Amino acid sequence: MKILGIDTSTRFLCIGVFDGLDTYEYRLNLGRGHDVFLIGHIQRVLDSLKIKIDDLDYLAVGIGPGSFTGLRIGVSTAKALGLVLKKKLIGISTLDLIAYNALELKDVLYICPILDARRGLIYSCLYKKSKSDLARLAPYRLINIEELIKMVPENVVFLGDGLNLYKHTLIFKIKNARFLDEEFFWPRGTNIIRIALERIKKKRFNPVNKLNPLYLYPKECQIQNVSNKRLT
Amino acid sequence: MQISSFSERETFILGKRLAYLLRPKDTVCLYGPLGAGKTVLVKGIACGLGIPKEKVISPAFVLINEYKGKTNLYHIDLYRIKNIQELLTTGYEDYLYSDGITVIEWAQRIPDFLMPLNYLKVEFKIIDKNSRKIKISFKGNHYNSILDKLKRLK
Repeated sequence: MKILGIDTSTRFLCIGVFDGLDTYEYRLNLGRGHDVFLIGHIQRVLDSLKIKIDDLDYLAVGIGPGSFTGLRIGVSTAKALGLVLKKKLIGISTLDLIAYNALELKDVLYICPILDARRGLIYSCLYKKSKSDLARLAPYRLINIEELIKMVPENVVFLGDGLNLYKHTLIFKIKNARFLDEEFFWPRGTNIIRIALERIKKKRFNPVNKLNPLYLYPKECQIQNVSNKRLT
Repeated sequence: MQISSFSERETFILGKRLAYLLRPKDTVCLYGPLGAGKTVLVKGIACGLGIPKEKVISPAFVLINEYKGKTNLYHIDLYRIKNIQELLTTGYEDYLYSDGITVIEWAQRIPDFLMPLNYLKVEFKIIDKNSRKIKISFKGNHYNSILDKLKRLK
C-alpha cells in the first residue's frame, strides 16, 4: 500500500510518502507560490523513492483552514490526481495535522493549535490525547483570543504560528499552559501519512466531488460551514 | 492630510513619492469615483518601484494583478464585487500579509469587519475636469511616519 500526502495550507510545502513499510517526509519553506512548485516537488520526491505515480493507492491532502490560495492549490491538485489516477482521497484538517505534532511529547493531555488568521483572529480547535490517538473536543473555529481563553482548560499545550502574536497574552491568562517551539508549528508529512493510515483502516474516504477546502469565515459573513460537520 | 492635484501628472508623482515610503506588507486603500485617478496613482507607485507604468492596467475585470519590481506590487480592484460571497472567493486577503505592497481600489466594497487592521487610506474627490482633492489618512501607527515624510516632501 502506497500513500502520497500533501499540505499547502501554510507557508510550508509538505509532502509525505508511505511506501508500505516506511514513511518519508519532505518540507520546504516557500511562503507563497505553491502553485509553481507543488507538482515538480511531488515528482521529485516520488522519483527519489522510485515510486511511480500510478503505484499510489491513496492520496491525502490537508484541507485547512489556512491560506485561501494555498488550500485551493493543494485540494485541486489532489482532486485532479485522484480523478485521473482513480485513487481514493482523504481530506485532513490542517489543525489536526498540527495537533499531532504534540502527540509524542510527555505529559500531554489537552492540545490546542492556534493559527494566525489575520485581522486579530485565529483558527483553533481543542484536542484531548487518549492512548496514542487524539480526540477532537470542539469544532474548527475562527475566533479571537478572548473567545479562545474562555474555551481552553488548564494544563493545555499550545502550538502554532498564532503563538508569535498571542503567547504573551496566554501566559498570563491560562494556568500551567505549555508553549511549544517554532519547530512544532507547521504540518508534517509524517503526520499526514499517520492520519491517512488511520482513516484507511476505518475506510473513511472523501469522494472527489465532496472534497472541499475547509474555509472558516467570520460570523458576520453569515456563511454556513457545511464542511465542518463531517470531518475525521 | 489634504492634497490638491491639478493634473494626471501630479497624481502620478504623488504615487511615485508614496512608493519610496511604503514597505513590504503595507496596504493602501483607494476610494473615489471612476476617473478620479486611482489607477494613475497606482501607476505612480509602480513607477517608483521600478515597474514600467505601461504594465499597470486597471484589474477591474481580472480583480487582481501582480507586478514584479524592487518590491512586488499587488493591485486589487473590487469594483465588480457585489457581495461578501464574491469578495471571499477572490482570496485577496492572502496578498495583504504577503511579501509585497498591496493597493486596493474600491476598498469600500470590503465590509468593516473584513478590513485590514492597518492601512493607508487615500480618498479622491473630483473637483473639475483636471483637478482633484486627495485626502490621505491612515489606520495604524506605522503609517503615521509615512504621512509625516510625505508632508515634508511637499
